[in-house]
Amino acid sequence: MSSDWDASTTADTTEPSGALLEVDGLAAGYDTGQVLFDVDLAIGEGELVSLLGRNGAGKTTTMHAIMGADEPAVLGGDVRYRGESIVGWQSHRRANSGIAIVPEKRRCFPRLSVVENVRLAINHAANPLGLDEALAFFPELEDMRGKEARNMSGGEQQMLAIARALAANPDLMLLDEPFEGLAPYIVRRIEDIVADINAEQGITVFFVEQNVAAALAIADRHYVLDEGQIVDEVTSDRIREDEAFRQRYLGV
Amino acid sequence: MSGETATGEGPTEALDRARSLLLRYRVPVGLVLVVLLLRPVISHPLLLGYEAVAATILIWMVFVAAFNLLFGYAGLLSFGHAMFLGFGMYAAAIGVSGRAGAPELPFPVAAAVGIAVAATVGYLLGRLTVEKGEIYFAFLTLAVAQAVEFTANRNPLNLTGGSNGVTQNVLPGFVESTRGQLVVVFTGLEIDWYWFVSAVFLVAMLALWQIVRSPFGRSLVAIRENGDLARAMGINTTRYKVQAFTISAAFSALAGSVLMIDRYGASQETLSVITSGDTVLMAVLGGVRYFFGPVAGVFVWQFTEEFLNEFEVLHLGFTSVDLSGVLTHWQFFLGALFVVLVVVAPLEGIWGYLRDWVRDLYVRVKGVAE
Repeated sequence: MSSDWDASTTADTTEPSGALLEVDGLAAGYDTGQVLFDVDLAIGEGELVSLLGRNGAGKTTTMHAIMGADEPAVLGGDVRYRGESIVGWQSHRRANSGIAIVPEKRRCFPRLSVVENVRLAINHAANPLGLDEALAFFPELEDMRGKEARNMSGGEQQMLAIARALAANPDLMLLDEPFEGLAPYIVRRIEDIVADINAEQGITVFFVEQNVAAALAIADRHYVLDEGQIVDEVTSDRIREDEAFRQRYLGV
Repeated sequence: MSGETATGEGPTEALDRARSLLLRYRVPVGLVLVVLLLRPVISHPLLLGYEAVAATILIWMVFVAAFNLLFGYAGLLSFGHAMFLGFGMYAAAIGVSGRAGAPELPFPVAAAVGIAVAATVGYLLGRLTVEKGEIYFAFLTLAVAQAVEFTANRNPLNLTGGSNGVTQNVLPGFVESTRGQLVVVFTGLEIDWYWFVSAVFLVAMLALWQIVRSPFGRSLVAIRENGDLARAMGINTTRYKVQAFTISAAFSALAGSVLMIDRYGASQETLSVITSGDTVLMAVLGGVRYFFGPVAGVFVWQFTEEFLNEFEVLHLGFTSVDLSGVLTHWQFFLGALFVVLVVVAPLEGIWGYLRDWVRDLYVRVKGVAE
């Protein structure tokens, strides 16, 4: 499965050992077939890193494997958090050890209000923020604290989902396509929020994205996933300059 | 209206405060209203005209509310909840009567034994089934309930009385039956059975309400809405579901133990799959998403059932209309209402409609006033 420009060599040389999250030769799949073949990632503490790739490249599958969802099944390789293998851990244990996720779809609990959604995270986190502290990042949500999530717009729900993840006061925040399906001005607002969470709260952020422009706006280091393999690890400059690369792997 | 005008706050503020208090405690207030209004309403001559069934209805409300903690809040559909009602009923009946060499127990102790048995079975069964998926959960609970009914029918150690149930010497010392009416005698005071049941109803329902609105209850809703996300947030969903099952079983057995006195014993029919099915239907009819859903569902169901039975017996006889024909018609309409509810909004039920209707009305009245 290894080619001459296997990303793991690049990652190994550029990343210091003892990264917060390491994914090593991960292979995973569903009943219908294998999706991930060889995924290598290393995210250092305090970093803001993206995983880019076309539709169907395996981005969400990677996220689910890191978070320990029921599916996909991990077929090989390792996921290490703070140097410890977490592959056999149940999802809630990973959350309790400081990983929070903002999922791609069904981001909030629809029948719970803003406050209830955030409280839930606070009640189940080891070292949570206070309610007001978490909501302070989102003045937009201030007027709708009692509103049920199902009655909110997509952008508001996304903010609530991020507020909920933030309230758990995680060390690592995973975001699955945080800009998907949002109006351009909300995309910019979410960009700011994610960047602030990384810069001001010191939370390591790893996100999956198809919207290359938005990813370039906030992250400087990007992994590129294609057909279930990491094909490269690049900087924003490289993506901006190399059109052939963009065309080939990102379709833009 | 902005200033805090020393002592004499305006009537609007006081009204607002009263309104927000009422809104906050609407569930306890509602429960008290149910207790106060149920008996006079159904014993009105135009409705049932008699009150005996009022206490039974309250007990059923507790049972279906306990069932709905599992179904409506945790999202687990049990098709065998009759067994938990039965555990409470049989333990109370066997304990109080002391039949077949069983130790004769005071009612509270016998009831506690039934609740403990139900909670234990709920816990163990929960450990085995809650993560098996919805269909399997429904079928496994159904299968176990069938096994329980079968066992009771076999009359093990002569304890359960087989198909006759347990009906001899089942009234505890503090309950007396005079002219078909139950009276609770407590330190010389005679308390109407209805008020005793009301007290149990209020305590049990307030406890369930506290559970539903606690962080535990909110976590159950989160699990129901999106189990994957709940897990990803650090909620051990299996443990929460098992706990919900255990609590639901315990409250069901509590209802069963009181129902035993109300029905003068434990009957095997209570354990049947029909009871379990009726429980599901009552909850759905009332609206499983709401705390008052089971209350509304039990009321409409039990009332209609009684009303239809009476209708046949009364023989109004002002015309030559075939009453049994009318009766089937009425049942058809109840069924039709049910079908409409399930098709239009399976989770809203009668209570969901009432709520929306009252809310619309309030908004409109407020709009006119302003």
